[in-house]
Amino acid sequence: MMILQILRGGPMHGYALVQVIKRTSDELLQIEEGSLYPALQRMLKAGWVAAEWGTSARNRRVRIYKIMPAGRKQLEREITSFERMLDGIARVMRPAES
Amino acid sequence: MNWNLIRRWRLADEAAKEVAAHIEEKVADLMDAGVPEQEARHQAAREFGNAVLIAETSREVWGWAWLERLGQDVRYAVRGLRRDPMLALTAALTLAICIGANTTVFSIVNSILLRPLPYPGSERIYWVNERIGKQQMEVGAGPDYYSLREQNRAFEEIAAFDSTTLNWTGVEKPEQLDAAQVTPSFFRVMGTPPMMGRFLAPDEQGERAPAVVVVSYAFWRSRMGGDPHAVGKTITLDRLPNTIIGIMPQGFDYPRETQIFRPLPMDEATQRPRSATRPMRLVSMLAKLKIGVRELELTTEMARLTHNIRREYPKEIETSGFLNGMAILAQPLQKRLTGDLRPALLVLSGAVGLVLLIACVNVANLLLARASARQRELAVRLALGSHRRRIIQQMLTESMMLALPGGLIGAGVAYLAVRGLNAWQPLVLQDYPAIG
Repeated sequence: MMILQILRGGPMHGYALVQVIKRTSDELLQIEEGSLYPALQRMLKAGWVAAEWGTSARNRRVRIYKIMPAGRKQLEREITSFERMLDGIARVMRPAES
Repeated sequence: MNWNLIRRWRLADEAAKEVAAHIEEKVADLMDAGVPEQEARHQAAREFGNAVLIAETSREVWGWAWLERLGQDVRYAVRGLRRDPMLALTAALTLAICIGANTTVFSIVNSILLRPLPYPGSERIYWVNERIGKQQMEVGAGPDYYSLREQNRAFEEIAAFDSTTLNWTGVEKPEQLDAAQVTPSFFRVMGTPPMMGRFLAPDEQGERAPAVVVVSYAFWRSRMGGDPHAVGKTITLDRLPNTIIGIMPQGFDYPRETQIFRPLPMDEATQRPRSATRPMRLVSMLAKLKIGVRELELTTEMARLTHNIRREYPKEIETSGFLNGMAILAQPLQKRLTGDLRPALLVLSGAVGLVLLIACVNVANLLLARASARQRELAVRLALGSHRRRIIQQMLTESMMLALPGGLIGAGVAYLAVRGLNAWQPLVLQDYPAIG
């Protein structure tokens, strides 16, 4: 979900994705950088993202991922269900207020 | 090489390149932040995780993993079996022999009991015979053929025939031929038109029928060299010239091994009306059931016909007691052809089935003994985090490696056995179609 959300902002390569996740979450989310790639492969296979070879800011050949329409739809679905889950948790945690 | 494999190499290559680029970028970033290169490389590798594993998992996403694992299992199984060749040989051979025996017996059962006769509408072809006194006869009386034709309501066609031999002369190697003398209706009952030429016309029957013959495919092939102009030629049979008017198609083999079909020398005028002094000709009879007539209706019809025919006999025969228990019977031709063999074949197939079961139990025992010797190996694998499913998969692959050669050799054994049986022609199978 996070990956799709970030890619919605624009195409990006793997290493940059990791950087963005780390920065925006204030290093709160410690992900093993490598685990990003199997996830990206799964999304490629599902057609949520597309990839092509390009160059990074440092002029290195990298694979750049961009979100596809199917990916946008998937993201919307996931956000909806995520919000509902959060909502549910919130209600359970604050029973008195509800 | 196939397209999948090329694609797979490309995927592996791309994944590796991508990972390498990632690490390089990271190292560059760290060095920009002032970390010495050596240190930066270590840190990058550490934070990235197990690069090889990740590249592999990335690839597995595309669905090649099961194939790779299967390959591993097959190689492992082959190595394991080579270490224990006696076991492998025993198991595979046991399976091979039993599968071979089963397949052979099933081939026989299939050709003789299950497969319908190779004639159109063969399930409607009935064998008609008679019972006189308590004696089941192979044949019926000539006059009955005419009575049945005249009175029956269940059959669309009835044919009479008998078998004989003819001396073929006027050729280099004179020969005695198996022949059938048939009524023109015979081929309508069998539902099979000649491959070439025509069959007997309605007026080509009786004692004054023209000297015309229809020959079998086998005769045409082997004795006439497949001559395309065979129809119209003359052959000398029992010293008389006979014109060939037709050739039957391949696979038409009834009565079995018949080479020549010619008109049945029987006339209604010599057979009917019945009298105590006139000899009756005995003939075999076939009839084709009308579509939609049920077994029960046929039984009633046969009883009715029996009753009618008894009344056709003159008083002196009826009172002599000769007709006591006389009946006209009909049974499916296939059943008649397989009648004697049916119980024997069923027993045989049951027996080989049981033998296969026993063989399976034996092989299972062998494998069980081997498995208990391998408990330690499995325990170690489980302890190292191997998936239970993965281990079951491997065990199944190993069993397949035994069963597959067993099955293949078994099929070979069966093939040879069937060929042997067809060449040897054991007495009990002689009257039946070739096994295939």
